[in-house]
Amino acid sequence: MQILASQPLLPFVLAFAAGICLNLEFGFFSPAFFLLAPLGLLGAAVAHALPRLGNKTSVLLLFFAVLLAGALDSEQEKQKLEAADSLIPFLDRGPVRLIGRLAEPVVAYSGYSRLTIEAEQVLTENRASPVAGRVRVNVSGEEPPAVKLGERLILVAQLRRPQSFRNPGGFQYEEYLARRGIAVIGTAKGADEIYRIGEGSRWNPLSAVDRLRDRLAALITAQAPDHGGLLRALLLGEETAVPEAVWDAFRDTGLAHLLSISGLHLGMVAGMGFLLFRFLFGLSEWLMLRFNIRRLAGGVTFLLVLGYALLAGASVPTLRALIMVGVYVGALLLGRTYHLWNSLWLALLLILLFWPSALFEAGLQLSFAAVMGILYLLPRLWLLFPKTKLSFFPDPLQEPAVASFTRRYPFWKIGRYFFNLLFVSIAAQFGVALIAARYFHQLNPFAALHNLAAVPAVELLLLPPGLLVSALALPFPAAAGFGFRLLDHVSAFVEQMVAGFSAWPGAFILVRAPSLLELVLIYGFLILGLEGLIRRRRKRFSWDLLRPDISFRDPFGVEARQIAQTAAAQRSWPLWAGAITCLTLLLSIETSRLVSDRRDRDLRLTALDVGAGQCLLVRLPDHSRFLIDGGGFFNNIYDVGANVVAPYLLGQGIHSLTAVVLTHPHPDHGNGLVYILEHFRVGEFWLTADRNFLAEELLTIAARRSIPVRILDDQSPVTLQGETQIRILFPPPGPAGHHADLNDHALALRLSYRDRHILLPADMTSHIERRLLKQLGAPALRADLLIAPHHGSKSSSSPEFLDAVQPRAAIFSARPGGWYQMPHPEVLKRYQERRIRILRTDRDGAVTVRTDGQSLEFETAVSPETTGTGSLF
Amino acid sequence: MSDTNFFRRLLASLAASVYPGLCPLCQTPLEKADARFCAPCEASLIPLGPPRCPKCGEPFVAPDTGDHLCGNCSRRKPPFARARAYGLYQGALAEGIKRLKFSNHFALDRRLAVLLEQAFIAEMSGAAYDLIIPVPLHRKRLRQRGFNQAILIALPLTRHHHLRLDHHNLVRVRDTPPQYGLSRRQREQNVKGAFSLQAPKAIAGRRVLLVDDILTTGATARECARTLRRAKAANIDVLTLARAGMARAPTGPEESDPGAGEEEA
Repeated sequence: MQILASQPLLPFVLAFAAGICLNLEFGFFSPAFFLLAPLGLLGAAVAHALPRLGNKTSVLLLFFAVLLAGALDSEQEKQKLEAADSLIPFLDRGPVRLIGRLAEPVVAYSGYSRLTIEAEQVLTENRASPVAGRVRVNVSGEEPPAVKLGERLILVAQLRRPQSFRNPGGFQYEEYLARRGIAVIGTAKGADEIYRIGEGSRWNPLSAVDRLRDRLAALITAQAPDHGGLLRALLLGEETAVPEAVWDAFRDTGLAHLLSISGLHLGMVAGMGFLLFRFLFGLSEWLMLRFNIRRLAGGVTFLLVLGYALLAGASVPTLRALIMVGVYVGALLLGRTYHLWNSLWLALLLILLFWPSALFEAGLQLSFAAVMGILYLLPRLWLLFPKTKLSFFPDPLQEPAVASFTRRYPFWKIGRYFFNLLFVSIAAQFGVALIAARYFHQLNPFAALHNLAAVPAVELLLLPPGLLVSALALPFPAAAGFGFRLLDHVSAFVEQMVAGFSAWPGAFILVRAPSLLELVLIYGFLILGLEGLIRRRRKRFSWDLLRPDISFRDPFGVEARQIAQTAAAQRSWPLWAGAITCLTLLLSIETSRLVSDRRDRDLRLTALDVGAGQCLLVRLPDHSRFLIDGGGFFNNIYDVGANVVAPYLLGQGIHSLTAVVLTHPHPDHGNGLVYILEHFRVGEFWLTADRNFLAEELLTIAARRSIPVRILDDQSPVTLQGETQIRILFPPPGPAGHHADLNDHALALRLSYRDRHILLPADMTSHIERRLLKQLGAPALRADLLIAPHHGSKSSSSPEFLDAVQPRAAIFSARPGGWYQMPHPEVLKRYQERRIRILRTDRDGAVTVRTDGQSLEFETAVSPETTGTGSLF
Repeated sequence: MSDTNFFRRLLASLAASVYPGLCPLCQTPLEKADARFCAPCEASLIPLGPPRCPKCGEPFVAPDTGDHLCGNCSRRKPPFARARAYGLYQGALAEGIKRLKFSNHFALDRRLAVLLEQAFIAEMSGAAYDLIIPVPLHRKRLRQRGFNQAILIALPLTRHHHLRLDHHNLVRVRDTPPQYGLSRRQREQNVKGAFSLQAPKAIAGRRVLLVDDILTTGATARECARTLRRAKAANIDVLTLARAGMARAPTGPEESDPGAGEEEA
């Protein structure tokens, strides 16, 4: 119960989060229930303040009141989202004129900008309809539209509901937007279709900060055109200004946290500010003789940090750090004692109060997990390194005690800085690694080492001078311009360093996303094991840390001593037992998963939802895996391979593929393969003889990674994999003619497993269908499952072809609303008339069909119309 | 029960949920929110009383000896009338003084000031003083630290007992190295001539209470008192938070505890 005494907010933050979870995840609370929350709160407050009532009763009441408050809070967020229902009549019906207020600063990406608008009205030909809700509009064009926060504007946009790629374990785009209050998205052709129609009635204090940010951003972009993105992210919180490649390098080295402004950055600013103000106040003897100028400096420093946080925009990590700094400064000013964990809980509680659904945000989870990792592990790491000397511990209190070190090793403070940094990085990784694995499917084994070099570079070389130059920018723009030009080089150096790290072999490894149960078991094992180790090694604790005559300035030293004292009184075996139980459970889960996969002798084909495009994963009974096409966008602004295909594969525990097959080098089939070939273990790369830019790009990657390439045509021998046959029906040898359509030269395959056949005709049109029919005859094309040719386009699926194939089911890998109508209603009718079961990735999400050679069963990720699973025989 | 009481309780419990009552020395939760230190830390405070040297306040181990001059004072009469301290420099008191001086402490100046005031009431309440003079820091040290701990702990005393605090007449003119690790003789040599008065006339005929955080050998206090006596102060008493008690602590702070060396530092 000591933990509750020092962290009184812990039960309440748990209750609040539980309330949010119950409401958002399970829809547990009815509106009538909500009346209880304020009543409970009032009751608890009265009970707590009345001296007669028992303390336990009031705390219990309060606990439930807070739980209900969490639910209530998240409910009002949900209802705000439902306001967007007023926009339903204007969805999916071509461009409409939308009037609204800019609710968030414009975010510029390469090729388009993102506007978030609080909708007010929609104008149609004859009338204006009042609407409500947040709309996120992507505006094409390199130049972002010149609109400011809070301004009213009118724009012409096509509106629709957001739809994510619905594959098991995939990124939930709708939920991501819903958490931001956005239920409708739209596209606008260009900045010239956006008109400002007034400043608006409400004065927004943040818009002044926004203008300052814009000015600084313009100055940085003008003076540091090549590497200014990093500066803009660090100084202004504009993460999107960082080029994609730089982002990738930071993420792949476990350094992405450097790009979002968090405790590291705010701490640095606070530290610098504190030293500066302490020095300035120290010039006045009058002040020093009357006040404790540390307090004064702390108070003023908080204003500085607040300014930086405002400029950096209120992202979750920034807010978290700001609140924690605020609690610290408050303690300094009020003469209170300060508890790191409790201030972390306060930050979480406040953030959830204003944004309940943030509980499900990766950003929030990672940010808090990192701090929790540091707070938990750091004091324990100190304890467990008995050889480390005093000099390496966090700030000993007595100057004379370390004076001898200073004399002997003049640079020990530098050594301590790096030693500390390494420990902090390891502790933070302990907190975030598995959560990052869950969201990003990767682990960064060297992240702590990378941090050792990158953190000082950012924290010392880039951030402090950058802030100084920014402060100069208003009075002396010319001097600031020169400063930013210099910083451009520093920024280039940092980018190069990180890019160098990301090129290390094994800088990151792709992993399967751990399930929640696995997370609990792994952390259970690690934490129980560590606690056991601490109790066991209590006689060999780091001696310096426990010297009674030495105290430590920061709370970690104090906490380490407390841990040591509690450890001395307790036995370690119950903890060992717990750790071993966790490990056993974990291993048995993994083994059973492996065994059931080994035992599975079915052929499985999964058509992933990649939007408009095709991506098929085929798993044969001998466990070999083929990825046939990888989907992709035509303009390639969104990497389907990295964002959709790879997460799905990793979610299934797939790191290696027997072969990657490209049916024809069109972007909607091949763009997604770039990432896969680059990052997965690929046995072979199969493709046709046709060459274009995309095919060359893929071949270059294959050559670089020494992946054997096989050029296939209808003369290629039948591939046998166990009892499965892969027969290539098309195309004839040699590349297609110069002006020929690549669709009509695409690889067509027929898979056979015992009595069942699957036909994969790729994008062939009806004249190839007829040609094959003539050449090979109907029996050679017959199949139980057909992948609808050319995504169900009108150009394909001729009646005679369908009559020859006679499938029981067909999979349409498509999404309507693109340039072509796919699947085409006429084509769908043809299938329906023949009583062919239609499975569509746009409606059903990922579709999996499995066969043991006799039966044929399907399973869909989401399905409003079919039952989700069913047998086709 | 009045409304203000209700809201005050509410506010207090809100504040306590953000800032839980923790011992400022070891972070252990306090049993009572308004407690000074946690029970073990509180128990480690050793307030001083008789038997002791009536001059320098040096505590004696044997309980039945009664007050008598210590060897040091009988050899050389100290320049002050008497020196008193709240407690022994060890345990929570030592830790508290270290934290006050070397950390961004949160709650220590007020808590330690209360201890000083307790000692003042117990030992000095009968006497009358015109001035409280804190032992000064050299300008350089003051800039380094940002405050003078002797002033911070003396401030409430002046407020509650209507005494005038004079913090700029007595100054430290020589930046002496820390007393840490020096012998009694060396310490005396070290601080010799380190202090001076800006306006000696203001001191003449005044009853002065000299305040500091620790008294180890008394070298600094003696030197200050000597400076004041030269300006014809009527009476000089010394009050410190802690004093080193060689007699009670088998391993005296001068040898083993580097913090004690920070006396007068």
